[in-house]
Formats: sequence, C-alpha cells, structure tokens
Amino acid sequence: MALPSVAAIVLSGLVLASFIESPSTYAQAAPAAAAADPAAPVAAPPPADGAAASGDAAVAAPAPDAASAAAPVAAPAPAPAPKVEAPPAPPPPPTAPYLTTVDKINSGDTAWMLTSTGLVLLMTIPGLALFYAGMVRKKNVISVMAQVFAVTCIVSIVWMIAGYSIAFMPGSPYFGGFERILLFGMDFMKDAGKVTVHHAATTIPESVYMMYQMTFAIITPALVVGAFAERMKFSAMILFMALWSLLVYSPIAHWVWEPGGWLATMGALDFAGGTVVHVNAGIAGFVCAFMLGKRVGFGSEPFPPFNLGLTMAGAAMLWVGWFGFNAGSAVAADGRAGMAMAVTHIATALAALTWMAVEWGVRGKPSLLGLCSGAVAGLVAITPAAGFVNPRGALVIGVAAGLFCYWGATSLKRMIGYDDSLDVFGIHGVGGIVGALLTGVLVDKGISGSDGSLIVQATAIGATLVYSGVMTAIILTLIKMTVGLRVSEEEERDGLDISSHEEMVH
Amino acid sequence: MSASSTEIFAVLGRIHVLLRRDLNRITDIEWASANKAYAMEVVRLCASANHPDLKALAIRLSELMELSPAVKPGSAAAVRNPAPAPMGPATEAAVAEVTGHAAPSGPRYIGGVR
Repeated sequence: MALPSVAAIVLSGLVLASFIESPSTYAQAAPAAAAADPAAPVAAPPPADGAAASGDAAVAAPAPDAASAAAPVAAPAPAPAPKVEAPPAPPPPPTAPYLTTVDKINSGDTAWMLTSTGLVLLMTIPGLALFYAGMVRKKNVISVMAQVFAVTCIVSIVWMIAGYSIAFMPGSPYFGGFERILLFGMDFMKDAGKVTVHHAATTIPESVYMMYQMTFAIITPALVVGAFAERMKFSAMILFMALWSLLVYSPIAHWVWEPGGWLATMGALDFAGGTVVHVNAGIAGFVCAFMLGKRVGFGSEPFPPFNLGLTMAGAAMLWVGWFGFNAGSAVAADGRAGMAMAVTHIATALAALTWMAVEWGVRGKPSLLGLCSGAVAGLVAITPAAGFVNPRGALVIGVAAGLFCYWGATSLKRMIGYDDSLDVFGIHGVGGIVGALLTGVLVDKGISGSDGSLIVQATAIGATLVYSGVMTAIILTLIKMTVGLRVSEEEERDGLDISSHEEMVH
Repeated sequence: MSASSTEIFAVLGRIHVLLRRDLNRITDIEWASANKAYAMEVVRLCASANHPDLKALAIRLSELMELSPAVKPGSAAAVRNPAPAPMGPATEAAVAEVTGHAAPSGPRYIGGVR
C-alpha cells in the first residue's frame, strides 16, 4: 500500500507543477490572441476577398520586425536615428457578414457557442414547458406543453426563412436586410477551406451564430404562452407566434443587437436580452392577457397548480440553461463570459432568497413556487447586465429583482385586475425593466469598456414597450377577425388537453 | 380554517374514490366544494347509486354543505359561485388521506398562482 501512495504523491506533485507552470503558457497565448484580433477586421471590408487580404496582412506584419532586427547588424557604427512612424490607423470594423478562411475560426469560441446553443434550447424544451406545465391546472398540462413545443418548431422555420435575415443583416437602422432569406449566402466550403462569419461574431462560423440566435428567437415567444395559457385556440396560437416572431421579435433584435440598429448605435446596453427578450415578451403577454380576457372562473375559483415539482424541475433547467443564455452572449470563451456566468448565478441566488424572505414575511410561509419564481426573476433581471456589471452589482440586481417581481406578480397584478395566467408580465416584463435600468447605473467600464446611460436604457425600454405592445395588439386583432382567439367556454371548462388535443395526463 | 370545511373535503374525497372505483365516474372535489349546484348533482348521483356507503355520504354532504332542495341545479342561485371556503393544512391532510393526492389551499390560488 505504501508504494502506490508514494507514486500517487509524486504524480500529484507533477500534475500540480504542470498547473503552476501553465499560467505562463496562457500569459503568452493571450497577447498572441490579442495581436491576432486586430488583424481580423482587416479581412472584413472586402467581404468576398477578405480572407486573402487578411492572409496578406498576417504575412506582411513580421516583415518590419525582421528589418528592424537586421538593421543593427548591417550598420553598427553610426546608429541612424530611428524613424518614428505613426501607428497605422486601426481598420474599420466589419459591417456585414463575410467569407473568410477556416483558420480564422476560433475552436474554443466555437465549442462554447455550440454548447451554449444547446443550453438555451434546453431552456425552452423541456425547461419552460415543465415550468409552465406545473403551474396550470391538471386539465391544461398537455396543452401548455404542446404550445411550447409547437412554438419551438414554428419559430425555427420562420427564423430560417426570414427571421434571421431581418434581425441580423445590415439594412436600415429599423429593419434588417434580406441577404439571408432562406439562409442563402450562409456558406461553408470544405474543399476551399472557407466559411462565412457574422460581423458581430467573427471567430465562429455564421451557422453557429445563426443557430445560437435562433434559440433566443424561440424562447421569447414561448415565454408569452404563459400569459394566455388555458384559454387560447391552438390554431390561433400558431398563427400568432409565426407573425409575432417575424414582425415583432426580429425587428427589435435588429434595433439592439445588429451593430447598425438604431438602439445599438445610440448605446443601449442589453447583453443577453433584457429588452429584446424579456421586456418584449412581458409586454406582449400583458396585451395578450387583456385581449383574450380572463379565464372562466378567474377571481372566484381556485386554479390549483398541477404539480409544482415539475415547475421546480423546469426552473432548475432554466437556471442551468441561462448560463448559455448569458455567458454565451459574450460570443467567446473568454473572461467576459466567465464574469457573465458568475454574476448570473449570484443575482439568481439572491433574488430567490429575497422573494422567499418577502413571501415568508407577508404570507407566513416560504413556498417552493416563490423560490422558483424569485430565481427566474433574478435570471431575467441580470440578463441585460450580465456582461456589464461586477459581482457587487449582481447583488443589487438580485435584491431588486426579488422585490419588484414579487410586487409585479402579486400586488400589481391584482391592482390592474388582468388575468396573466402565469405572470409573464409580472416577472419578465417587470424584471426586464428593472434589469435594463440598473444596467445603466451599475455598468462597470473595466469589464465591458462601455458607459451606461439611464436615459438611453429608458429609451430602449420605452421603444420596446410601445412597438411590441402595439404590434401584438394588431396581430391579435387580425387573428380574432379570422380564426378567433379563444376556445369556447365549454371547451375551456373541459380543459384544453381534451378539447384541443384529445389527450390527458394521469 | 373551519372544521366543517375540513369535513366537507374529507367527505367529498371519499365520495370521489367510491364513485371512481365502483361507478367509474370522476368528480371534481374542489369544484364541488365551491359550487352548490355541482355538489347537489354529486349528491343526486350518490343517492341514485345502489351503494349504502355512497348514500350515507350523500346525506352527510348535504348536511355539511346545507344543500337545501330549494337550490335546484342550474338555477340562478346555484349557478352563482359562492366564495370557496379557505383551506389550510388540516384540510389538505384530510384530502390527501382520502384521495391520495395533496390538495392546494383555496384562497391562495384565487386570482393568481403566486
């Protein structure tokens, strides 16, 4: 027994020594990567031949160094005065997707973004489906799950056909171009060793960026399902989601996340979707709840949740998946992604505790649903701030999220008197607004290099509220005039599981 | 939390189990506790069944919920939804014991899930 122990100690020492040495390796790698980065935009301006230009620049770069190194040898006696040249102006950043060589792709970034894409999809199916299914009555569990699943499928196709192009192609400041309709132009040419990249994410293939953004486009309308749960026609829901994704989500994503969008140009900070996803879904849910009206028996009958265990499982999946949502929004496997993950976790934990404490004080008992709701509130509120604030800022956002979202889902809801079935506005709308505003206050320039402005943040929130609210109302009105919005009262009493799907849970 | 509410839920739970097992009929316990018309229909079903336990439970439920014959199923008075009685831990335990499923507390889920 003694010999293996000694061997184990020696091996441990070797492993430890290799870890101690490793920082120097990374320290060397980091400047190299930093030096490589400025070269990347060089490739951008001429989209077609960008790769060649980049390659020339990379080859040409060492030449001056070699000449200067050789100079002292060639002329040792009278040292000529060194010629001071102004450093070349940095190349302009790319403004459109372009074709580049595969060696410009960063495998670490790509691996992380592939992983993040899977994590964000996990948030919707099954995360959000379980989260919602546990909160509706037993007779509507299948219905909510079917709606979330169907939204995933519909939005995926809409995104492929036109959504991605409208959201992420350069066009006007308000609406993207049509260069990627049906994803034409998004290429990978194995034999030529070339691949297209998006100008906002130059180290990963454009296909990965498109897929990552697709998962955001999926979860945003899927969140709205919670507002009209237990009463909307399935056919109306499908039409609404297709139109809403195309006419509401994609333009707002363009405003904020496409570098030429008007809110992006103005300096609005939204790291992972505080306005684009949560304020947007929140106000859409608010309008849906109003236009569909209250469920039969709302306010007079209890609507007991089917199974809060499912809700907790869904909330946990949302929490885990949110690391892909927020840390993935760095679009790189780097320090900012790590900081985004850290603040996401901190804010979430504190928001859950805050909600729990408030509920404990007000109602006398802390509930599991309260803990889950507080966690989601924290995740929502930290979303716009994730790549901008430090861990102390995350504490502030966590407390604010717990307090304001508890108020939004209880007092505000009763004050307004609308039937937002699962509190989409109370949590996502209120949490998104709180997070977006606090991002402007708590932004840490050391992390992001950005300055925050409360006025700009408020402008982004206001624009999203108005545009999304009005467009949602218009879309719902059109659907109401054609296929109708609500199931009949009898179908609603029977439950949508039976009346819409002829299925039920046992 | 009144003791009678606990008893109502307990009786409804036992009725639910017997109806499901012997007559293959499903009832909604919470709805029966909140709506007298529905509760009367449950009582009528129990009374019409050739089952001594169900008949006894129907009588007991009628007494507990004060289901007077004046309240006819479908009448305006019956359709009007009375405010459901609050339910606390004792009721939940009683219902859970009878039905095997935990029952949520009433007022908590009126007007919102949170």
